[in-house]
Amino acid sequence: MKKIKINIDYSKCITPENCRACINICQPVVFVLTFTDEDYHDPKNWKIVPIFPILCIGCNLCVENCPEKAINVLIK
Amino acid sequence: MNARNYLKEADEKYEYTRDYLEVLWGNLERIYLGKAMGMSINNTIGYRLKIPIIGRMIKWMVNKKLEKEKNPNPRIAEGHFGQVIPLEEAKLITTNLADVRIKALCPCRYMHRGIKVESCMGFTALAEVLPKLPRFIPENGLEILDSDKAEAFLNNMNEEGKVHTIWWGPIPYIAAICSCEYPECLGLRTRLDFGIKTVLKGEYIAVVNPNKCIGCGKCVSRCQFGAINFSSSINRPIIDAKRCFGCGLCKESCEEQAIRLVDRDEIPITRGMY
Repeated sequence: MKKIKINIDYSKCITPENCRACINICQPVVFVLTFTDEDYHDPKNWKIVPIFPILCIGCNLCVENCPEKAINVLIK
Repeated sequence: MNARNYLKEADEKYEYTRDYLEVLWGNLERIYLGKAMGMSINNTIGYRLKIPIIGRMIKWMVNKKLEKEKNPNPRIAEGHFGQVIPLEEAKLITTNLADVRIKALCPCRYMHRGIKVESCMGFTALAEVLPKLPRFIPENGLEILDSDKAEAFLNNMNEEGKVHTIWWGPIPYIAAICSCEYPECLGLRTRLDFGIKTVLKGEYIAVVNPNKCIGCGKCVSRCQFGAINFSSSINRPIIDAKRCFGCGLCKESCEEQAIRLVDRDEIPITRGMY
């Protein structure tokens, strides 16, 4: 089983709710728009987190489509 | 229609229904990624479930924990328990049993795709709880549906190819009917990708009548569970009973009425396979 690591650079990914490029393009839905620890009930402060790297097929579509080039996929 | 599907009596029996629902819906995202599903937010979720023996043990423990929820604890809203139902039963529940019906935003699609779709229908107790949670309120506000509108809404969702599911508050109180899709639905996703029984299979299984089927193949693309294969050598679809969730989407699409739903318990292999 290959281990896949997906990193998102949050200094570049600033407006996830308006962009949504990666969550729309990903076929197995690896990314989830979810809460951060500080603000739970306000979706405006939510972040995109790669929560299911096990389902990633390594197609690199998210890397190519990210307008800020904030995503990095590592396949070991 | 199953005897489990009743509303009013269950609501009166558990006076903490509203508290339970408020905790459950208020923390839905956290519950999905949290302890109820045996997952944590630390990026390691799937790996633990896919490890051969340890993964199986975790799955067994989580499924056992979910089963226990049949005696709900009012203070800890843990799972989000649901079941797939066909269109007719969804209509029966909405028209005959529910008093107040409101349309709410789907939290699952917002999480997974970042879009806001009104595809959930909440009933009496949930309708009282939802105004406290601004995340679920659509732009035009919460719309109260009469029975005709609710029926039209269900028909519309069925045409779009969405699976009807009931979601229990404290079991057996039905809090909502949602129109779900794999892989966007939180419940179907944990069930199909990770084998955790957050959504139970329906009470039925689809069966093809070989004399009526003309082999158009319309039903094949409607199945979200990968249960239908089209065999060109016999020119009709084959339904895998073990994978069938009994949602009846294939049945609605068939113009020849060649597919019918059979009670799950009538077939010995699938008896009790929920």
